[in-house]
Amino acid sequence: MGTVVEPGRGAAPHRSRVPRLGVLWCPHWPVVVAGATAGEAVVALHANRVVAHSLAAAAEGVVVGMRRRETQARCPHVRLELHQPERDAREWDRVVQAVAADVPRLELTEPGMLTFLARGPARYFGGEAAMARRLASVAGAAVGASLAAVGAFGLGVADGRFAAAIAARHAALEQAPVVVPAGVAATRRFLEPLPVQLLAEVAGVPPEFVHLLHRLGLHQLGVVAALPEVDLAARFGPLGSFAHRLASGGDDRLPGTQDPPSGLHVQREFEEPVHHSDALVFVARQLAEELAGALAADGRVCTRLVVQAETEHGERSERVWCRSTGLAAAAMVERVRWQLDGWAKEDTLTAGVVLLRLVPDEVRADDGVQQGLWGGRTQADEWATRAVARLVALAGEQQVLVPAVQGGRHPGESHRWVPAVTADLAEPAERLGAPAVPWPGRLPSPSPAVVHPEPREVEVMDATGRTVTVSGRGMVSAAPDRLRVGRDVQEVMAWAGPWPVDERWWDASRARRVARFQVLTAEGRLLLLAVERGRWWVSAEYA
Amino acid sequence: MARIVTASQRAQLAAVQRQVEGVAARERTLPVVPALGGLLPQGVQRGSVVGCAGPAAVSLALAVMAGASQAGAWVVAAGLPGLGLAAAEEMGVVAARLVQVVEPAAEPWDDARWGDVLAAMVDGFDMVLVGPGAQGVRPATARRVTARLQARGAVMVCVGAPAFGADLLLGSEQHQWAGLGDGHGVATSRRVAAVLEGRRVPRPRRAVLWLPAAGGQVRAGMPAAADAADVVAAAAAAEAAVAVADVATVVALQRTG
Repeated sequence: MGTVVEPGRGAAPHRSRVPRLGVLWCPHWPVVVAGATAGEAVVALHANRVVAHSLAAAAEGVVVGMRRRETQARCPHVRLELHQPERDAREWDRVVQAVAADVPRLELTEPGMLTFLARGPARYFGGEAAMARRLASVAGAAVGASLAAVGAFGLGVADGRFAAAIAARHAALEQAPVVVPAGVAATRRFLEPLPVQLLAEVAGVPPEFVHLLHRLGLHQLGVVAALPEVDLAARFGPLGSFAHRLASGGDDRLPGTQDPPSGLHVQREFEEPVHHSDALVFVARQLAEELAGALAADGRVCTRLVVQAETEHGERSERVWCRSTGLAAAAMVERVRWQLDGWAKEDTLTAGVVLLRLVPDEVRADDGVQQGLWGGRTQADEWATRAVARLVALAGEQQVLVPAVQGGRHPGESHRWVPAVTADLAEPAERLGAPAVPWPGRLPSPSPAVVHPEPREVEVMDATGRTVTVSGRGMVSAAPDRLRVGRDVQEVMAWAGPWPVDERWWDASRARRVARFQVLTAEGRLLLLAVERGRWWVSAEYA
Repeated sequence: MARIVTASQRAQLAAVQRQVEGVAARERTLPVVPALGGLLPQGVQRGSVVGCAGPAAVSLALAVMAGASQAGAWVVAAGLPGLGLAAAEEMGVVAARLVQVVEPAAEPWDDARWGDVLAAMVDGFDMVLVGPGAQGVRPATARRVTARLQARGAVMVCVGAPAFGADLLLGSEQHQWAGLGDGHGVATSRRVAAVLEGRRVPRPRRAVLWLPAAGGQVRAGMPAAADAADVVAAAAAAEAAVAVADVATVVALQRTG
């Protein structure tokens, strides 16, 4: 077990100054990793939806969030790539190393994006504009030719994470670094004309909240900033005042953000150097759970995490990972894996790892505000979504199915199986909501565990050997005595029915009169039989 | 130097140890519903293959998967095109995390394709249900899949697919439906004497289950509201089960002894 080192719990002073930050952002990084060439239409898919696309694909009308079929319809020659976050992170390490040569302390937000304190490097390179130009070209050189498929690196410098990230997006569009002048007023002027949508896209504010702003007629950040903060706080609580602070260029850390008690960290030293990243990730899982548990015990969540690893020969890897919505244990493990994979890829490692340490660099009160956005999906969901995409590729679209509620009286009709590619796995509510109308005449639960897709014909005979019939009034000619399927004859031990169903009698072509029976055979098998127009079928079995 | 450990320290230590063991056990196992606690007190170990047999095999398989499904695991089924969704939901399997792969009737898969599909299932899902449709898979392919299963830490539940070599075998021996009469009533519940055997189970474990119970879910032992005759019958069945267990141990002793 690792050790949790936690000295006194003195509340750290809240940092009030908005830091001057630079953000380096590569638009559609997964496409770059997929090795797209300039002018080639490539998209990266996750759960059958586009997560990234090249410029050529965008020119054909492909946008992020589009379904695969629609993408192929708009752009038939498009190359489809599965989104692989691990690979993206591994390749991103190249850029990180190139930039780290110039900038000492980097934070990795996600593959394709990194953040750094702009003040030091700006002084060194003689101004923010000069620094921005240099870093953008350094990063571009590290990536090489495939960058042309998505345009160029965006590098933005501004006060605070939110403004800097937006500046980086602008820079990517304009293909030139964007530097927003320092100061709250300048930041506010920069943000004023921009849509409130950015609150959700960049800052991770719940999309429902942004929709609400739209419905209230607040379409631009400037309009939100012009409202009194107290009014927003009174109407929306902490989220409202957070949005106001963002829109007006103020401190954009989530409320309750603070420095952790100094010295709090978890670590594990290995007596035997570890050479396999799998084993390290396994240990990282324990450490991450310990750390997340220790923080959760105080109602806090880590928003910036430093991962340090050291080899026997003193080689070190240290990266800062941050996520404003908080890193759960699984997210920490994922980042450790990304970092170790990137490190191992360098081929300069000469020894096994002897130390792995996780240090929380910034924590905030875990208010659960952001959980709906990121915490709703577990790692198992991610794996399963990816596995479904792989199964579809292997077995075909019509062979991978998920359930959907349909409603009906027969056991096979209450639900149906629909192809997984047509369903949104992350949003099961739309296919599994309760049926809109009740279905009187359903058999009570328990339901049969096996419903034959193709009903099997069966012969039902009474004691004299004649076929049992059901009259139009629902009367049985005689008690069923035995069943015959092919040559196999079985005695009936108990039975119940008939439960007649007269469906769609108003429509001559689709009308159906069926009577259902439960029959227990001498073997102990309980079958659900249906008789329709004098012929008997086994429709399901209570297996 | 002698160390003095007070009772409270010892209690603290024990609590920490329990916590640590609990975490480790959770890592290694998938939970099961409380009704199966008698058969699988630790849950189902990751990487294992659970075979279900007997007349209640499909219901047993659903019951085994329900606990993990409710805890957030995804379930995938193959080779069982007739899986009853209503029954699965009643048993506690979460339909939102259920996926089925069906073999096309027009062009059945060959062994290699089955191997690829099963491997992909094992890679991405925590619970894999394999039905009789997969019984044509060759033993070598099945071994490759189970090796992958162990590496990945998923659990496979098999119904009528013996090639996968079950680590745990859940049988349903005697079973009896309640509620069905001679031309009247409706089947409400089934009492099953379930037995668990396996390499890591030194002596077979037995339990009487209501599978399904009145609402379609699985319940252990005797029902809360049953008529007196049923209670007596259930008690008799439980006694019989115990008696059978004793016989089984005697036989085992003779064999080894």
